[in-house]
Amino acid sequence: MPNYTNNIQDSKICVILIGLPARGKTLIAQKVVRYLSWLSIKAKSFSYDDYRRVVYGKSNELTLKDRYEECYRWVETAVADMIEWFEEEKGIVGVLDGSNHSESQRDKIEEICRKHDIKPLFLESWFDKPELITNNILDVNSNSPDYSAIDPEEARKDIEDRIELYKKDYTTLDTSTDADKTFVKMINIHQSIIINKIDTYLQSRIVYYLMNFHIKPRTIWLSRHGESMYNLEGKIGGDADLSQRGLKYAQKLPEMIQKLVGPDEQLTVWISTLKRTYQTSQYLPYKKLQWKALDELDAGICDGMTYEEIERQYPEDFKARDENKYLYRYRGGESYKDVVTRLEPVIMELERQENILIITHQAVLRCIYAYFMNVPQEESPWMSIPLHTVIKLEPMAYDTIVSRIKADIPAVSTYKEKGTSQLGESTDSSSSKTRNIITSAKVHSL
Amino acid sequence: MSKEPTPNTAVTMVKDNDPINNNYGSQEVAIEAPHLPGNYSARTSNKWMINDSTTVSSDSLGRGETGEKVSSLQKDEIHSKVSPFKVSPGQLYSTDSGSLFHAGKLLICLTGLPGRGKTHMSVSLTRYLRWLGVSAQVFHFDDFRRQALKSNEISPSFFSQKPSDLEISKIKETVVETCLNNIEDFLLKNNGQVAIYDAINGIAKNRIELQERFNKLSVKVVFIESLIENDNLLANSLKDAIKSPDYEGYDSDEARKDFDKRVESASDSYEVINEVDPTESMVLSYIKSINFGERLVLNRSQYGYLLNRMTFFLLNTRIKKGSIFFARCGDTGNHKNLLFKSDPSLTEKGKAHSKVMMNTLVKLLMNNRNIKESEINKKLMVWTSTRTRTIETGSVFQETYDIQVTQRSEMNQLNPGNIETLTREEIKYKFPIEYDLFKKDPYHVRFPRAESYHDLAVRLEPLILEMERNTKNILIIGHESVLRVLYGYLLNCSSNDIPYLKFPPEEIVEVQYNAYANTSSRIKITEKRT
Repeated sequence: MPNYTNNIQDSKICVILIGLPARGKTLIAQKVVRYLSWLSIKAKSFSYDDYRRVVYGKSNELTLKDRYEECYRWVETAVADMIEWFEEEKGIVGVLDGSNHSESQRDKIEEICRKHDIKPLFLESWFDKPELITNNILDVNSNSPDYSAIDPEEARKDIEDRIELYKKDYTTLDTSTDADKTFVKMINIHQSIIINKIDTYLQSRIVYYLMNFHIKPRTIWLSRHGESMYNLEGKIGGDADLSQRGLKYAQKLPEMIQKLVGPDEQLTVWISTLKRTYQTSQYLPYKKLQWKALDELDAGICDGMTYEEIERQYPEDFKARDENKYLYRYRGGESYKDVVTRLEPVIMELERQENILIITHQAVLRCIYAYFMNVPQEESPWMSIPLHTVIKLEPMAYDTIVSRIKADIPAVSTYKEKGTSQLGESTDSSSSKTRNIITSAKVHSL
Repeated sequence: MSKEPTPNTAVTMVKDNDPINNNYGSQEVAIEAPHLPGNYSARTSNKWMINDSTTVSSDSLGRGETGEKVSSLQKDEIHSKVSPFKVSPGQLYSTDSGSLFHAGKLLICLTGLPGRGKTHMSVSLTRYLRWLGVSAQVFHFDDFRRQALKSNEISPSFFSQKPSDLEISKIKETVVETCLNNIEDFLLKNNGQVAIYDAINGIAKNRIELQERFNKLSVKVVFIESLIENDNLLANSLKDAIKSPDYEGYDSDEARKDFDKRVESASDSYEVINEVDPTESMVLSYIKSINFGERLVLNRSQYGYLLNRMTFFLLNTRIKKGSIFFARCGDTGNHKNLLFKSDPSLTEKGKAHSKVMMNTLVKLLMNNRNIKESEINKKLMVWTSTRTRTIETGSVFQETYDIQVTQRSEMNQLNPGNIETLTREEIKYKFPIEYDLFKKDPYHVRFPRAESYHDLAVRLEPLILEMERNTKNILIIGHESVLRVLYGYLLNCSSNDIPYLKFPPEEIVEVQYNAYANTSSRIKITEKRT
């Protein structure tokens, strides 16, 4: 699907989440915002809980009942802030992340939206499977900032009490009484979904995305292929074999991955159709899927050349690429933007799956990484993703945790900075546009 | 490391090219000696499979020039077989087997009483899938039935889901079997990925059996039930249904009477997909579409990317009766100097031409489509690009008939990049690599800084879905490159043909929606009053 950036000025959307505590609402809100941002659509989530935390801090001094009654106050503030954001920052999709469980409260929000020409889209997450609820309570328990300093058992009790309290005036969406509203009701996430009165393209894009993801915890592992012959020679593209050191990485990978993932965990390996990713994956004892969509950015006529050769033979192209790397398209080849477009099926499938190891190429990894970490377009093509390193991504409701695991096998650097044809990362950080992707992350060693 | 690991052969490896699961183990790869000069390990797998034998001699560089090979209007290709060499307009990449997205094979079974828009839905779904490059084929039960029996020999009781007449039920069984065998052949022998089975499928037991039969063949089965709860919609839909080839030569009252009997006969025994009874709701994967997509209910339908993409399409598509009209903008003076970035106004001549174009269209709508002049603005909308010349061409509609004119930024023309001002000879000289590729595959080739038709098609997707969503007639005023791509979608053209479609300024091209297949015609823009 295309990156949809134009002609949406006339359709502002407010996604109003509905559901009891521990129904995955915050996770849904964050994911929708991240997906839309990746498509260059301006989106923001307004979480009622965040407003409360600002006023009262993490640890709750308030009694349960006070908190419940107070919660309406946050709604008003959040809605007002959202309206301001729509108007001042030209927002396109605002998400109201809260329980919004009572009908009168929803009517009020709807009225305000209509007054400002914003189309409301209600999104209810409804569970009736006890085991699913228990799992989610555990998840909130360990991830929510509210419970970070509280005994887990106490926290669980608190969430359960809140659920009971909210149940009192909770009205679920109904196909007869709410027939005129635009809404999506997800029952046990994907067991059954009711979609009512979708009337714009952008709304349908959001719904489409919702159909693709799950909220189960999982881990995504990313790795570049092992060092290739072309890497040694500084050549880009091509379909070269691994070097001796690259092969060593391939041989070490099973031990590394099994240690990291755990002996009994299921994992699927995704590779591209180019030899070097297959060779890197060859010793891994897991099911492998080959995707043409994961092939490296096609360098067109520059395929198989070194950066120096490109600078010499196509000086204008060399310069143009440095100026706008995201949009620059090699002659007869692709741009980063093209790669993002063809990765869409991969990203959607990735959202549907559980534990996945992706062995692919530098540019493709930058795009996938940018999706999970919300990296802006100007920066994503300049991120450094070294060889012989496994990156671990754990998407959570509140953020994605990244860590990097080095294989401790030497490899050349394939990083090229702006304005030079030389490879290697500069140590002078002031001149560097490098975004070290793991700035705040833990570095594990094996 | 303690010991050298060996390649793991017990593990399955599924190639992008495999239809479903061609299991084979991994094998060790020997590492060759390095450091050969030049691009010794060039890529062998291309994004596109280009058929080397097709060399096209025409000139169609996205500047609206006259081509040597002038394509006449096409017939809708939606029911023709998919050629393995065909690359679809909106496709992102191609594989040797033709299967995409690791989505496996799917059978979509339409479900619903006669007159519920099943044929319409099955055809438009096929159109969208083929646009994405998915090898999809629709199988209409009625087509197979018509092959077995003459239309006038069919009694309404044939449509009963539990016919009491033994002979009828025997014939029906044979027709169903032929149809399903054809589907199996398509999916298992002919590289098909999605088969769409357009039939009433009104008995719960049969639905479950159907699912089991195909699951055994590793084909996933999803039912799409079309229900109409709104009386107006139903009345309209039934009115359309008698346009079926069964009623060719019938008087419309007579046809309606017979059709009502068919519906009645089918309704007596029809079982709606049961959302409560676990024997059905816990087993079947289904999507209910109520009032043509106004409400969708999805049950156990988490079958992956492809099915979600179809649901996305169902959210956007509506039953359409009108037409899409394609027109060029009026004269802007010296065409030779019309650059991509220049944005001139219409000349007086161009303005006059716009009026004549409007009159021609309005006359057609009034005379041939029974639309009253006073209601034109309720039945027609106009889309233009954001270029002044198309806006001005559209504006006469607003001024004269108060018709809504929308500017669509997606509709801006193909960017010609660095070849903009060059002649054919100059292009050949300056960009020989691209020029050679262009001759083989004009749809996918990009000249430096230019867009290919494929780029254009991908960025037009939101507009295509907007077209699907709209139930009015639409007049699209735009650059020839944009019209080519949109027209190509509506008539399921191959990507090889799209760059050669012709939209001369003195004609309006009409594509008329039809449940079974769209039709297209050219209308001369003329002042002549009749």
